[in-house]
Amino acid sequence: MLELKNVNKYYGHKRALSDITLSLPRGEIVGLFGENGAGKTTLMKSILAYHSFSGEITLDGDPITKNNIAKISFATSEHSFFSNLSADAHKTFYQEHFPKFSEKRFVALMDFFDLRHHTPLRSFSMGQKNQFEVIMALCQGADYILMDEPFAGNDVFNREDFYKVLLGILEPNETLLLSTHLIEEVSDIIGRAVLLKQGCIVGDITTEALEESGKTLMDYIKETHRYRSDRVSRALNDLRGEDSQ
Amino acid sequence: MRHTKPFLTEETKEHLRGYLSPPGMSLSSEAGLFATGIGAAFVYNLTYLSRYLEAYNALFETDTHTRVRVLRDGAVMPPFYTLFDNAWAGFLLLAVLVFVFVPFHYSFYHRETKSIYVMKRLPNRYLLPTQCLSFSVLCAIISLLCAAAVLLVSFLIYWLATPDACLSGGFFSQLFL
Amino acid sequence: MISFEHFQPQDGTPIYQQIILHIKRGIVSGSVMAGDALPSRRVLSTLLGVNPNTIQKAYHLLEEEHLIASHAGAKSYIVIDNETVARIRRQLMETELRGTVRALKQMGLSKEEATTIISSLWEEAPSSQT
Repeated sequence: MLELKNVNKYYGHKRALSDITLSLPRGEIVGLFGENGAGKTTLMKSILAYHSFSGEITLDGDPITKNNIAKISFATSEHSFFSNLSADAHKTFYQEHFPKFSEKRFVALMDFFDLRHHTPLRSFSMGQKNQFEVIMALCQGADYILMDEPFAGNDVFNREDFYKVLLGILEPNETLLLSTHLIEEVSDIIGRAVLLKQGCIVGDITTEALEESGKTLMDYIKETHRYRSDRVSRALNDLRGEDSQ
Repeated sequence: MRHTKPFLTEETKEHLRGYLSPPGMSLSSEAGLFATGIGAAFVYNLTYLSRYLEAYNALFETDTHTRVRVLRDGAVMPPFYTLFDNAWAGFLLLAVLVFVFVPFHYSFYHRETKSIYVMKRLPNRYLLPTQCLSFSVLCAIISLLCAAAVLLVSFLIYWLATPDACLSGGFFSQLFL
Repeated sequence: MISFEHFQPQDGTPIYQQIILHIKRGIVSGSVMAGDALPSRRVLSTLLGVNPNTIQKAYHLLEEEHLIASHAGAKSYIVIDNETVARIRRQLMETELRGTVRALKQMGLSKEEATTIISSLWEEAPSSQT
């Protein structure tokens, strides 16, 4: 279980994360949604201990240190691989540092996406780079896989493949936290949706609960956001009403 | 035909490189710069030799009658440290300058891709600082060793080439700077 | 193994319900028979591109209706007999007709008018091939 309790993050005076409390049990595929700047990346970076934050983040009860950091992997649209190295060189590097690295999964995924093993990553197309980034996150042997907009730049067919691969390859005890703008596309593969707005969690619902309510994910997201924008338009109306008197 | 195993196999070299610099970063340009620096420091060291030769020649005079070079009366060689002076400054400066490679190594993880994200989440907390620092440290050590070597060689030249009569004091007093 | 080749997830109803309907229609049409294996949860979730929990829910509900039997670690199998097939057929028919009946009532038809129309339409329609 990955638990966040009252996590706050400030960049100077700007509050990027506001009192985040979230529990991610094993085996869930969770979609993390929100506008740009809502705090999705900041949330993931806090889990990975890339920066300081206040509050508590624990993995199976323990704080996240070098002892258990290998249980979390990360794929980002910024790409975290070494562009001079080949795919196989990455495999060697990962095997050295992550004892649970799965070579079997690596070979299968490289094969599925038809990626070259011995050429530098720099020579790959954007779509292939995204694919490789995801491959490494999936093969590290992590229990919690965090993906920050991993499909930026892939065409829709590529993305469909991605989703199928994710579903086919994830074990029941592996957790995926996936942040993306492509709400409709991922609404079938996720089991839970967490909504972030201006650093706060404004929604957290399982797809089962969504189904029961008869709403689509898009409806739910619009609703939670409309609530906020209603306040704004009502306030403006009140103002105008006052002015016209 | 028997193939003897080379001392440094490709594998070993790769392994060492893995500690000296970020993955995929070539050290050739930095090594070249360092080699140039060492060369320059050696050239600067030649100032000692010129000072020594000057002092050495000052010990002698040419007899006007016999046209033979003879030792002047009461000629004394200046103490070693005055002649050596800062001849090793090049190496000492280089030992400090090589640390400019450190931020350069660190910035590598932010160029093209953000491989810093992988480095920061490795269970091995020492790999990132090692890859940033160790090449500079290695170069600094080599510089200092070169400095020590030129000091030794310079002193040996002083000790062996100078006529015994001109040496003032004992071995260790010569060496004290 | 039961084929989901022609299964297309639609918007509007939860996917687990669509899966259940697909199986039931198969049972009624005879393409799904007793002893047929269902694809494993993981395979089906990958095939359809849906979360494994959705598949899990569908299979669970099918099991509750005693249409499939699951054993831990092994595939699930259809366990139906003629009685069950008849029951499911009625169930599906009633669901279909319920909608139609509601529509007819909303239009203001009486039961007699509806029956008359249905009888004449029945005569008109070509006989189904069995």
